[in-house]
Amino acid sequence: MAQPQVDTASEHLNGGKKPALRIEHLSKTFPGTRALDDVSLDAYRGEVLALLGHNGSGKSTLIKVLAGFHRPDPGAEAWLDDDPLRLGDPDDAKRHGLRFVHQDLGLIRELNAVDNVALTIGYVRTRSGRVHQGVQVSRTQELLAQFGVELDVLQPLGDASPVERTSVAIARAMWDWDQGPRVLVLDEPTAALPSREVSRLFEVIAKVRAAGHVVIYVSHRMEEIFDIAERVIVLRTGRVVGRGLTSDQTPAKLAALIAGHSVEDGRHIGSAPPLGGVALRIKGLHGRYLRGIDLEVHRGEIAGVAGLLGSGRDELPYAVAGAVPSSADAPWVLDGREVPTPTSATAPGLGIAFVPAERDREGLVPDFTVAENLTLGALPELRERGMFLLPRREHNQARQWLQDIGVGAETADRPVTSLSGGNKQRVLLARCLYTNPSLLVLSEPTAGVDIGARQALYELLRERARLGLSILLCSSDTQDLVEACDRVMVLRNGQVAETMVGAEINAERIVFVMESVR
Amino acid sequence: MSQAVRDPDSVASASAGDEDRGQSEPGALGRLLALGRVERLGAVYVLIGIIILFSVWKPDIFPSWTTAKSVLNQNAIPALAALSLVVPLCTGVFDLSIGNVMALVSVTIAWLVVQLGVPIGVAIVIAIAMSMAVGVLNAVIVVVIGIDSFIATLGTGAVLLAIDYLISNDETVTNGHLSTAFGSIAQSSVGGVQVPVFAVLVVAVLLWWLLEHTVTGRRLYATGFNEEASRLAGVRTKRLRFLGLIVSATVAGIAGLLLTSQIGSGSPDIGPAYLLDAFAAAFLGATQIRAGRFNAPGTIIAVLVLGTGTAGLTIVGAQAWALSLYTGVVLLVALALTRIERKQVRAGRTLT
Repeated sequence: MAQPQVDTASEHLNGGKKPALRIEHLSKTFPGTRALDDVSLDAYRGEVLALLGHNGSGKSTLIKVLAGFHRPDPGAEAWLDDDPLRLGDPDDAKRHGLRFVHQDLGLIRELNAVDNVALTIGYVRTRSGRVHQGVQVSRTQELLAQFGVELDVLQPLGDASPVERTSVAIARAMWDWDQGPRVLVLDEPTAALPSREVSRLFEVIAKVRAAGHVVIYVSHRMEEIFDIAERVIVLRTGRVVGRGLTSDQTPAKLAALIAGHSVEDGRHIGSAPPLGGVALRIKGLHGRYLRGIDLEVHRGEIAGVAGLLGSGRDELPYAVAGAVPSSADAPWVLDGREVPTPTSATAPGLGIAFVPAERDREGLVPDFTVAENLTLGALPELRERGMFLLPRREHNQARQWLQDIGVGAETADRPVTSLSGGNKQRVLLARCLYTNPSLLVLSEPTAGVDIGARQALYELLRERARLGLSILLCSSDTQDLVEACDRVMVLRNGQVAETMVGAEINAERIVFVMESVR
Repeated sequence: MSQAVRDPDSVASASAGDEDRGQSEPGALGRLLALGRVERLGAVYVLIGIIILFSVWKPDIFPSWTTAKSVLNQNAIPALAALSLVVPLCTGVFDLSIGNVMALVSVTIAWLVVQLGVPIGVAIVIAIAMSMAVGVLNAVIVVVIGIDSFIATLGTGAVLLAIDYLISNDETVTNGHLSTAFGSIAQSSVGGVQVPVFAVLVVAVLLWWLLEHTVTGRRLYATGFNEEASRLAGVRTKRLRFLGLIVSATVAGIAGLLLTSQIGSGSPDIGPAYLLDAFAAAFLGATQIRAGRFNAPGTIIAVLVLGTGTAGLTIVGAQAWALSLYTGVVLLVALALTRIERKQVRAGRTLT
């Protein structure tokens, strides 16, 4: 597990400049996982620092610590212009001029730019206490003009373009930027932007940089880094694995750093060749992001799907499970039979089981016990004589299943919310598996699941595949794809950009292909 | 067999749990004891407390079979109204139109029997069919069109009220035939306990069976707790919500029918008064037996707590404001206690 620390540029290659934001020895431990491990970070005025890393790399934990949402483990130190910064204290972060624009922007789409801005910076009132609408409007216009944003400030932001909304969010976060130095943290601002709008966003960011503020820029898209960032820092499993000037880097080098080499270790090579014929064949699958994907999953195969947000990777599992509407050029072929496009109600009957991405929101019923969550998918099988559900029989079955999947029979009557992420995922998997599906569709199966539990999940999936289950595994975590899958399709712009089979599957290549623009 | 299967070694990953559950499978006695825990049956203890209080206060009047019978007879209709709400509430749907459905059935029967001279049996069939039709209308608006149930059923309720006034001309309608022949349905009794009480029992048992012992019942709860997860697990959540609104309208229709029979006349004003107490009982009932879940036995207990307390207060000569205060305080205290308890449970058990 020994990881060579790949410092691609020494910290002193900074032209004698002094970092404005300095963080040292930052660790953050959650029960069961170490999200950040002795991270240090330097960011300079008038520069953009790109923060890279995949899901679970600790990126978002780092941002949350900066914002004061998480308290770091003792020993962490931070300074802003030599002034100590108390990490984990939201008020102190605000006082030091740390400003955040999160991925969802935090704007209210029903309100216009004037009100959205005023919610943060306050309203101008007349003496009688009325909102001074005229002053308010001109103040908002002036603020947006400073960032080169032109839009109708009186129309609801829902009608504005995505890049305009992002710009408004940035302007709102930096509204008092002329009153002192600021640190602007942008969390994947381009994730939801069409690529042609990215350059407009970069003009806004360039203005912030030119004014001498610090910008920390989190992104998945490789090309952008080279366009906008002076420096780059790469996190993997909570540790800094690379840092330095962007000009010293190449996309391939960064992809290697992000993906890491260690993933090769866990690789299961010699994956069994597909046992039988085609379990599922869809020709020309179209949806919101999907643009004519030809999908085939073989019997006994674990087929992986990679891709960035918006590439169709998120949508594909939902479309295959019938949870979102989709269209195809020809009827689906499932186990050799032509079937109508499933809905989530008909999918179980067709032998398609689904584990959705957001475990708590889309998977579990929080007010149900563990046993009730487990049996939700298999209720018809537990039914005896007409409509009766026998509590004793259901309970015994549930205990047996819980035992089998290693969650423990004694958890049956506990609230499902008391389980860990990994165990919740096992309960969901078991719910699916005990209906004996022919196709299992998984979306983000290891999100929030710690390392040890991951291996157990992979093992469970492989074992099921050996028994003939076909699995479609869609994940933003390359580790899942490399360690569990027999074949990986990389999606880009709603189409399959590349397919890798067996030993060709390689984390660097996956990252490189999905983050290319072509 | 698998009863005793509990291998402590194989559960290492998850058993960082806590608290009691030393014995894996409670026996019959254990289950009985568990059923009696305060968290599940708090209202029953309150009920016993109320009975003792008023028995000591008015020993000559309160503790009698007459009082018990009158509490049962007087609370049968409120109990039916409350039970009608249980199924839609399980699926997370409010039905605020039940009071007006009761009134609709009442004025329709009176109109058919008194004005048109329709035979009673036919009038009953028409009235129940009408209430089911209202259920379908509600379901189409809420489930198919997708308007929030709270505001949608408020709207249909207002429309129904208009129809009630149109049919009845805003007058209480009755005649000898209606008050005697039709009235005999609800006024006939077995040992002083009137027919509506038995109707409550039948409806409650049916609901209990549906919710506790059928697949549909489990899916109803799942739909209410997390619709998206249920839908993705293959549950036809829309169909269940549709069904729920039909059940509430139908049971409310039966309540309206029995109420009309009990008072022997049709009036547009009789239904809406039951709405708030019905919700109070359903929500108070959800804190009992199956804490956090709307259920039939809990609702019955809740109606009895509210009804017995009100009856006792009336006997000791309390004013109207005291009765309303009692209902409000019992409901709020029960909901607050449940909320606090659940917070503690969550905090204490969020381990592993």
